[in-house]
Amino acid sequence: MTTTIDILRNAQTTSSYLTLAPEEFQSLYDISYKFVTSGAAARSLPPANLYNVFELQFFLSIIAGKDTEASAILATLTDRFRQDSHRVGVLRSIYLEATEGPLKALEFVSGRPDTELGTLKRKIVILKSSNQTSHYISELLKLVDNFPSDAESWAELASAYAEAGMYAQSLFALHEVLLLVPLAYNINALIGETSLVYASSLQAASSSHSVAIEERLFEAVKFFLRSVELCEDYVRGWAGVLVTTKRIAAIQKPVGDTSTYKRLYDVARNRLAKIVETQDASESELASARLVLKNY
Amino acid sequence: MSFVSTTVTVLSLLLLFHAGYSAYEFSHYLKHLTVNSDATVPLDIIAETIVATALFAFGQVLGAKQLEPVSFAKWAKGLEREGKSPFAFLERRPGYMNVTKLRDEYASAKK
Repeated sequence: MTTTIDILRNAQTTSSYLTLAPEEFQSLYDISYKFVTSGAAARSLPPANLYNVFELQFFLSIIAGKDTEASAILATLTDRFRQDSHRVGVLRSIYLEATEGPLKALEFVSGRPDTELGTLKRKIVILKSSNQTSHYISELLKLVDNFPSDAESWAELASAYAEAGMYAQSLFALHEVLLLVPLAYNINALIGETSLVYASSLQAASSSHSVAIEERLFEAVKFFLRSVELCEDYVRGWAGVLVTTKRIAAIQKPVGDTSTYKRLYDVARNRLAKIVETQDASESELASARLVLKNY
Repeated sequence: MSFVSTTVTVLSLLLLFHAGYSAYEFSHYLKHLTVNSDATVPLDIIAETIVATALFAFGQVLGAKQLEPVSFAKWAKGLEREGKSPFAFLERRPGYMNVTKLRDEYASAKK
């Protein structure tokens, strides 16, 4: 039983169900469905965890298109926590968005108080589906103005900027995330990746080599290295170091001193080779490590 | 708890009990002595108590769970491997999930 609880708790805290492959999603759904409907959840969990599992089951059913199931769970949660609960409001708006369309959901979230972060986020998402990116970004900017300590919103803003090709702004938003969650090694790696893409876009814009490109690459290495400092043998970080130092080595007549980066290239190669050799990572990470080693 | 650790712990508790009972017997014996004596607890009882306590501690340490890494980087590595990164939500962003798209993807995968 502990394993089932662990799987569900993990899915809930990491929101892994948003990015799972269809088969994995299906198996998670089956585990959760069985656990909730057999009554095992109600028997073995204290209330706080039980309602977390219900919330997870709601998300799984709504994504799987099981609207009646989702509606039943929503009714249970509403009975327990009342309509004005923050989280129930979020679930209701998602339910309306999925089953009755964005207009109904928009009507619902407009009736919620202005201080409710969760439903404000839903409102912005609904507006996104009907408007262009620029409008989406301006709405997000208003939100982070009012809730500057919400890391998730800054991260969403960064991703919206990156999609629009505004990498400098995206990097700024990611730095804000780091101020709030300084140990987030994945965000450090993401800053590295964004800097790298930024350097490529600068290069594409001006055919000649410039100091700005070099600075972006140096910054990318710095943040990739920070990510492997925070998470030992982080394949994403080492792969980033490898790719970026290779790019730096290809620069003709560099302005800064690049000898350190040559050494870093060797270090990154050795670390990745060692990770692959000792199978010291998850399957997908090993595959990416092999790919990067082959191409760079 | 492993078999060895349980055995050692039980043994140490028996020893400790034995030492305690011996001390009680000794005090009883002293009461019946008519001559005034400044006899203290015999050395073997003291030794037995010390050995029992040490054995108990040893048994408990043997049965301890797998220790968690102290260094943040090592701990993060373990979590990352099991897909339990506490920072993953920053890139998945459940609050901004696009429910219509997720439903469409699921429905098309089902076909």
